[in-house]
Amino acid sequence: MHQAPPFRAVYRFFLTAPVFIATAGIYLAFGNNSVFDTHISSQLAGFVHLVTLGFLTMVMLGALMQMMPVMVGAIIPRPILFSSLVYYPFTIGLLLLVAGFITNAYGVELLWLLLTSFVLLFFSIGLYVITILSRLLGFKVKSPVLTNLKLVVLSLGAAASVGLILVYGKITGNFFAFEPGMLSLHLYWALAGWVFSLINVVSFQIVPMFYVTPEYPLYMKKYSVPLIFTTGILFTFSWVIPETYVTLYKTLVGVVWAVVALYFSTFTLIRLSKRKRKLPDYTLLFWKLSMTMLALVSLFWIIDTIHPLIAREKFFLISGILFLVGFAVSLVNAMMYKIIPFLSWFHPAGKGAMDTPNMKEMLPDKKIKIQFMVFFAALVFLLLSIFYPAWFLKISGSLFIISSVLLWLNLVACVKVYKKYYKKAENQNSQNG
Amino acid sequence: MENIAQLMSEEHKRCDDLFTEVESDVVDKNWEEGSSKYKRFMTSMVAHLASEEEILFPEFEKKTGSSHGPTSVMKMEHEQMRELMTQIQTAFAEKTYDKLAGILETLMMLLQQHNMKEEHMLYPMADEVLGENGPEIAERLKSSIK
Repeated sequence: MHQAPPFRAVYRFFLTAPVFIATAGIYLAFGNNSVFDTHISSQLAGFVHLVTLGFLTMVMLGALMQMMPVMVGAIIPRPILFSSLVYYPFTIGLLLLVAGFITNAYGVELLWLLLTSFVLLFFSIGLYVITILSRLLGFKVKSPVLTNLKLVVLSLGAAASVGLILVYGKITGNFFAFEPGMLSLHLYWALAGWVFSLINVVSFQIVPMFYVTPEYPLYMKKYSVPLIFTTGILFTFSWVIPETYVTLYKTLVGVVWAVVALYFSTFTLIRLSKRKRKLPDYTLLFWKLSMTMLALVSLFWIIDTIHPLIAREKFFLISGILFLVGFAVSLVNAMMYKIIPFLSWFHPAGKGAMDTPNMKEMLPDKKIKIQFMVFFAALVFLLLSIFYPAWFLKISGSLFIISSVLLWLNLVACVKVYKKYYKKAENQNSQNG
Repeated sequence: MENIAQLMSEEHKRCDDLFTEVESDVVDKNWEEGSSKYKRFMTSMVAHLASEEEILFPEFEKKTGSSHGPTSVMKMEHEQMRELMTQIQTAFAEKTYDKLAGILETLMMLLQQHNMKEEHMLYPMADEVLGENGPEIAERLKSSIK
């Protein structure tokens, strides 16, 4: 309800995110082709964090700040200061973390890199989690979106905390010194608790809003995120169950997630295909790809649980890429294509600059379509490179670089329009007294 | 009896449907048909915005004692809508598809995020602060829109 935060407090997150995906592309294109040799390695961890923290979390931190006033009416005080205190330590911490992983992969031990990175990341994420939570706890009323947001932010905190334990393990031995269970927990909280659940919460709001579909049913809004969260809590305390049942238990955790994901993705696909608007919207290409990939990975997961299909290493690599790049990156990409052109128009127009170019003038459909095609090709080659790294990793990496540069240019074009017309409106307003 | 939130949310839905029909005609380049449907949409919108600004917001401001709160943000967005609606009229007259598609998309986004704020926050708040006067105000809104 209240005013949205100043645009500059949020667009820095959006404009930095493509740079990190480009870096991930460089990592693939210029690396030694061994990133997909196994599913647990420092080298892979470097790549994964460029995607999860560098792109997904980077955008989500900004998007959540932007959407909280619209979703629940919560405003963050001193938004520019808050944004800077989160943004700079996060960006620098992430760069150091990735550097730590890469040097480790090449046999160089630089513990100070990891330690410094962790202090910075923990400060930034901690501040974010606590600030958002304290704002949300101020509401007396109960609503599914409020509860969901709290759980999602708590999951981010949990993922970061388990990450800290892993780094501690590294300092005293190696990253994976703890039983692999600790790594599974980190993955669960980060991917299911944070990325997947947040995308759920956000979709419940923006699918009806951006695509003019009916609202999601109340039972989905009410139960899916709490279910994922409760499963995470039970998973975290699985050490209390007798050892004979642990495997069965872990299987169940995976299945719960996969069933929720399959339901959500199929439901959303059906909703989107029934959309009444006829005006072409190329961000739908990303949405449909995203939901198809999520349906695919959850189905793959369920079938594999019943009847193992493929070697474990390949299974985790395929699931990981389908989920992270196929599902999450596509969706976040689509989301930015709505939020940024709209805000670039909304802020100057709100100041009175009604001649601000409209959304399609600053970001023509054709540009969205071209970037989509490059991104899609990059994804296909990335999947192929799990099996034939020597042939396809470099192609995939190069395509990711091109795709991110195009994305970045498209977003920058909008922000430029914003800057020009916002300034113009301010000048006019000050002239008129 | 309907409360304010129900009545006004249904009104949003009705305007959305009219708007979607206009878009379909624009996509098919049915300029005449589209233009007349657009007039219907505009009449509904103008009445809806006026009913809020002349009945709902003043009553709300009287109860909360502030005209600088949420209603001022809503009124500002109403202005942005009116401006875009005029631009659409011009674009219809010029029959320029690209221009029209761009403004329609922008107006749709503006409307949707605005509706969400009203439906999830302002209307329920209005029902709460207006208390027993709520149903009577809902009736007045209803007759001013129709």
